[in-house]
Amino acid sequence: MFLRLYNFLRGYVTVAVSGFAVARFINLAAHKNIYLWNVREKDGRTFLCVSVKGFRLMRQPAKKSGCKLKIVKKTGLPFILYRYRKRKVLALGLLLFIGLMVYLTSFLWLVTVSGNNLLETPALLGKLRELGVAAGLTKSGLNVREIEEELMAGFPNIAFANLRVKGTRAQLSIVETIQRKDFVDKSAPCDVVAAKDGLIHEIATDAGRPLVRPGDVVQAGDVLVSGELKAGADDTGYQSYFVHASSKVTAKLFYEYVFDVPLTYIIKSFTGNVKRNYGIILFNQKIYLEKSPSPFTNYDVKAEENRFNFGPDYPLPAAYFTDTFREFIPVTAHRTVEEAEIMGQTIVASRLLRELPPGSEVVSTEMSYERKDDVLVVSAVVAVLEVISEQRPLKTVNNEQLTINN
Amino acid sequence: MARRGVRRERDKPGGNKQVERLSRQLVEMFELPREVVFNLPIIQALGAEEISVTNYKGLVEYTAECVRVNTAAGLVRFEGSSLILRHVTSESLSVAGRIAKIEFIT
Repeated sequence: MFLRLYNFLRGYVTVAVSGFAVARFINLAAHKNIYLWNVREKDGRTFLCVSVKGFRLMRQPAKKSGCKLKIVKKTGLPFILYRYRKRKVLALGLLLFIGLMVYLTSFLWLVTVSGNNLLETPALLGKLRELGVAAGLTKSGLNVREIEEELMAGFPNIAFANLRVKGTRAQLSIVETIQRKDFVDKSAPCDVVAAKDGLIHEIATDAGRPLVRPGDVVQAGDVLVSGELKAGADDTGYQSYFVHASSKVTAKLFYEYVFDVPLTYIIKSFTGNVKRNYGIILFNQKIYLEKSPSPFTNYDVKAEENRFNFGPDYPLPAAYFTDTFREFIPVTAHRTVEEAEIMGQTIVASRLLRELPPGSEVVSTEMSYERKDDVLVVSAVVAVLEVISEQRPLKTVNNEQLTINN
Repeated sequence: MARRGVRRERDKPGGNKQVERLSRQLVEMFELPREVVFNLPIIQALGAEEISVTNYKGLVEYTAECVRVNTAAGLVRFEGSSLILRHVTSESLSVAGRIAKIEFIT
């Protein structure tokens, strides 16, 4: 394959040899170190391929062996160039094209961020822009290591940042740190307090002195398990020592939800009529090829963008976009009361799923419904068993206090 | 057509059987490469499709049915149909096509 490419680049000819001592001619040519290939016989004539240089050297051996040479095909780059030798502007255009491509691909045209669940993409993109990574900025001189370090320094939530610049695309993938609680020191004294109001259901204490029992009603902020232990208690007093109280307290809480479920609602019935506006985006400028306001009174708009690429790693700063308007007719639909009740239950269930902390258990759900005009008012009271214990550090002021590590 | 090796044209066997025997013994003892010492051709066949002859002396005949090559080991004749010479250099040549017979004519 490479031999063929080489021969093509150098240029070769296909020659027809006619004469008496063809074998002798081939011998002589080979002896002169001329490389021949594809020697074949057809209709009494012998054809062979030889490089242009070789052909020139072959004329003498042909004479010596009494053979006539005739060029039947000219293949190769030099011949093509010769054919286009007058087309200077074409050559210029080709150079310009290559130059333009090289120039355009020396910029970044697409910056993407992935792996961020807590941090917002615009914030990251903004910081990247400051550091020199943004669409339209040049690629050269970007120190990826430095930028990654700057990002990690600038955002304490980033545990790991990886910036990859491939072609005209920059991809940033980050791994966020898991949010730590403020309170880390396992040896510092603290109390266990209630995070919410509730009725104590269960206490499981690892350390500290419990102050409440199952069945007690507590309010948010009440101390459930104290970190202050009293030693040697007698009539004269006692010595306090402080521990890091730790306990899991489960309490029964009530959540109340009240909301409306309308019995009459509107659905969009699409007629199937569409109207498209389209155009090209060049360097973030929208150029409409077809633009007209929507002829429909009620419609949904969907915007689509298709980016031009020079391969998957080389997005260009151009895309073509389509705005699709789909007409719909608003149709009023009715729910029955039963359907509305079911919908109310579903809404309560999904809200509980969203709002309850993990590890909570729903004990009972009481739903009540009231029909008011065209709306069903849904009320739900949900009893939940939830962990309400929370650690609060003790501020030690008294100089008589000792701290003992657990 | 390379002219390497120990044996020259004028040292052809005939009256030199002893030299030949001795050189063969030496070659075998020292495990020297025979194609270099005796200037022998190496004929390699790829199936019945392509045969390369390295270290030949000259091409005697080429037609689409018969190719004859002269070597230090004698005349080698290839018979077949649609025969072409894929490569021809001063050191080797390759015959390709539907090869039917290989014959050593000494």
